Amino acid sequence: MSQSEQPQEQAHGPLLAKAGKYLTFTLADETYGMGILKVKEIIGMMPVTSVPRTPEFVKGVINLRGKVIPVVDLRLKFAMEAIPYTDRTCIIVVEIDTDEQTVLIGIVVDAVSEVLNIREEEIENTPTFGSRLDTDYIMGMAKMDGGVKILLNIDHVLSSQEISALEQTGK
Amino acid sequence: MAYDQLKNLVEKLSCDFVLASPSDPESLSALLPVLKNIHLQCKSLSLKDEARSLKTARSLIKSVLNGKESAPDDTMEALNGIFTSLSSSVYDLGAFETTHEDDVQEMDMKGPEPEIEFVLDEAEGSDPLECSDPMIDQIETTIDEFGHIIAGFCPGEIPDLGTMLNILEKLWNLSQNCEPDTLANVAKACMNYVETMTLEEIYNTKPIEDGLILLKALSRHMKKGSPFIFDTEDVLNLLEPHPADSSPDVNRMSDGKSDDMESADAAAEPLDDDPSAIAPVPPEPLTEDDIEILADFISEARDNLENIEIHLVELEQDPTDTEIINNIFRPFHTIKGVSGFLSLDKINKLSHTTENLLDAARNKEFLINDVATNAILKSVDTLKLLLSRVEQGVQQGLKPMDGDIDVEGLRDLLKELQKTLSEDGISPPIGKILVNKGVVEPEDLEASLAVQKEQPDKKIGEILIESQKASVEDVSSALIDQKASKKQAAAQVKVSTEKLDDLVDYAGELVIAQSMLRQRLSQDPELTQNVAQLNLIVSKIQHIAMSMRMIPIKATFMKMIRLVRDLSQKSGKQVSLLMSGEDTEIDRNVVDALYEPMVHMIRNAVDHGIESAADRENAGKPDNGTINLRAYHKGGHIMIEIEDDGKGLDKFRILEKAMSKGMVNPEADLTDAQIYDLILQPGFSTAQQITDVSGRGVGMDVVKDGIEKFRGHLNIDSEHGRGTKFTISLPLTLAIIDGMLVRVGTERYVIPTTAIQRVFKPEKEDCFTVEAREEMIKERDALIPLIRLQNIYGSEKSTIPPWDSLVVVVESKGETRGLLIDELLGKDEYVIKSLGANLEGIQGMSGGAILADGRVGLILDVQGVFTIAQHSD
Repeated sequence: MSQSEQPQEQAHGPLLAKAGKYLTFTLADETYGMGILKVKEIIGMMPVTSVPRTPEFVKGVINLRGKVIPVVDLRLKFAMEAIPYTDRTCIIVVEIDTDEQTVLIGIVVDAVSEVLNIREEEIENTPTFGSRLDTDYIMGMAKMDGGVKILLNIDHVLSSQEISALEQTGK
Repeated sequence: MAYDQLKNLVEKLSCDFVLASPSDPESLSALLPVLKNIHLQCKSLSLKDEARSLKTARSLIKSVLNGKESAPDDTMEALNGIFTSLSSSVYDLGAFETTHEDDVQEMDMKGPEPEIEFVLDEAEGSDPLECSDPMIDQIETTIDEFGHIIAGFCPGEIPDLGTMLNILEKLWNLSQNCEPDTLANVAKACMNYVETMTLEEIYNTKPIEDGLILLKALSRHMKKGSPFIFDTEDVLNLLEPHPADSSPDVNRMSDGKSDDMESADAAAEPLDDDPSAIAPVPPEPLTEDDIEILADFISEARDNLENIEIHLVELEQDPTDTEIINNIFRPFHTIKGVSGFLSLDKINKLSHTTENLLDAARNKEFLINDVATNAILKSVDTLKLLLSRVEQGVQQGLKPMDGDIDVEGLRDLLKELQKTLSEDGISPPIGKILVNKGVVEPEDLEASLAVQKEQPDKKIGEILIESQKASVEDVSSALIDQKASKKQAAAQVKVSTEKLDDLVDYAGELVIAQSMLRQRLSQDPELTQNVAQLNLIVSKIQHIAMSMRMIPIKATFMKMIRLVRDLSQKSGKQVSLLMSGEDTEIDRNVVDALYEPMVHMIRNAVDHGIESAADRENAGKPDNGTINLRAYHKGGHIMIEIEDDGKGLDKFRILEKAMSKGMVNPEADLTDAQIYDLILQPGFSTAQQITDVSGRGVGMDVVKDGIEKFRGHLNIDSEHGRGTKFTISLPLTLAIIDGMLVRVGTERYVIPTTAIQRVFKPEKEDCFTVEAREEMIKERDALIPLIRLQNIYGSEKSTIPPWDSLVVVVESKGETRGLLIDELLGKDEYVIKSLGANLEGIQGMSGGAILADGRVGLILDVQGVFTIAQHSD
């Protein structure tokens, strides 16, 4: 637990702690960022064993050096159109805090861009998009020279409750 | 008097200094406490200049010790100067003393009585300090050890305090045989003080340093054989565990009590009689550090308590074995020390009282009898309960709430016991063993004891042999018994299971990487050879990694000893437990799975199996019932046998009862094994009398379920009137599953081999459909419903006719189904991996397995598949 508390403060605690280093990646034409301390490693796309009776965005499981970890396609999670995987498609392995433990989850993204140091004044609060878009897992928007980056609270994006809840309905 | 002491100290200092050299840091550091003491004496005699120069000397020595001084020889020179001037001024003072009478008298006024008394004591005893030479050497080395610890001691270093206690205890034991007992008394007082330091967070180490100096002086005098005439009173007073108000500058010769040993002992008591701390307090939150320490403490204390239980049972066999008592005493001691530091009040108090009882037993004041054993076991149980509260507290991050657990009653009981037992006393161990063996008559022993009183240096055994009451062989065999084998455990390291799992993971990956490498081998013979070598090493590593999860079943067996003991007392039957194969290794998860079923079956064996002594006698069996516990490996399984020599199962009564409950058809022709299996059915209990121990009709079926949950099997074998044997067979490890790898469409699944009955390719005419939806297959006159894995798992429905694919017939809980697969890829052992917290509990999947190509395959849960098939269309 003590390991995971640090990144939480660094990357998505109260307003003040939002500034910090972010790993940015692209999905379709949008650029997203997530706290660098959440990221365990980045691996190339590899064969995924699909697991039946799970929500569509759960691509399946992979073998990460002897550990079996689930892989989630972020495009499908955000209800974007699925595209065939390319050379640039990556799996970002992140550490998610759940209530009881920290678990490793792989996230499939179109491409990984760079690590950015984002300052406090560059971050704006998440605008509300009405009821169409659940913005709970968006921490804020960073206005940068290269455009707007959407900063994700990855713990909320992939809460285990959500996955298991969807699993129920998927039956 | 202060002056005399000062003079002696200075003399000692100059002697020590001559022997000290900068190349021998120990000799230098030994000077420091002496200097400190002289410094204090100088202060109390208001010799300011001397005090200052002493301070300089101290810092000089320290810098040499730290290696900061570039020219140690020069420093030594400087020190020499300081000390010479010091001793000359001290001698001057001696000459000056008469004129300074007022001052000195004032000093003496404060402590004249104890001094006189002490000197008187000496005069009466008039013995020089008597002790054998090797003993003194040992004492001296021990004191030196103690000195080193103190020199490096920082306040709050609990482990150091523990070491100090151990050293002091050793010293105390050593010095007990020396006359007079001054040294032992001082050591004891020091022990008490250190104990208080541990318990009450006192950081003032000065009294101990004084104690150390005193100890050194005593041992030196002992060596010379000259009587020791110093006043030990003031140091002993200082060592009294309430030194908070006696800061170093206060005159050390304050009020003197005459009873040295008593006062030191009594001073240790109040903290254990203090009832104030039990007031109900709302739980306080714990810091993360606390939680870590507490968690360590819990696991350590649990281990300790387990050890205690085992040794207690051992002790029952031979209550005279001091080594065993020591083995029980030590863990209590550890628990007491650490719990005090963690301010776990109740644990601390209870273990303290229990320890006292054991301490007395250790000092041969009495023998631990049944009553005492029960009381100690009770204390162990209470401690366990308290520990579980602490654990709960840790989980919630709060200070433990144990207000409802009463330790005072138990403590009173223990104290009472100690008192009564002490009054009874004991007879000498060796004699007792011989009497127990029936070699020597008690009267003869009494007579020999009388002889021993006249010739104290003779061993009782010798006397017995001389008077021909016992043969040499008998005595020596009794002596062997007395020294009962002291088993030496191999050194062990505690490793977190997480690390072990990681190791197993990586070893598995290594195998995969290595096999990938082998597939790419070129024609290069040298490379081929190297890879073959690698192959060997890798498989070794994997083997070791797997075996590290294995632990001997001994710990579980040992718990049974206690259980049988309790049960036989409760039920009034005499039952002994024999064990074999305790070193058989088994996966630690399986060990946990085994515990409950074993407890249950042992209960059954004692309660229902073994008859009462009278019944046994009628049946021509020995009064003492026996339960045999065996463990061994057999074909990848571990077998545990629990066999009793009781009355065995009565198959007619079982059958009768099963019929009356409608569990079996009266016409059915059942084999013995089938009848015995009936007792594994829910709701079956043959005991006519429900006892506290067992027999409430929930039982064997729970045992069976528990074992089957871990892919195990329970077998019963019994002969009426001769006994019953239960055999549990369990897989060696839960981490590995034997499975068949099959391909269904594009996916590969692992089907556990235990569930598979057969695999075959059906003929077209054996396939049927029901309502054009459900498919059936006829196989050896049995109709088996088919399940298409693709239909329940895949996104597309498969339409391949069954006669073009293979049928795997699987069984679970008496149901049989055929699974349609496309291809059989092989059979292997697979390491079961969790799919991760998020994907756990998916119906029909029991986990993942890494396949030979490094990809993940899914392990089917056959029962789950059946359920899905039933609920889907």
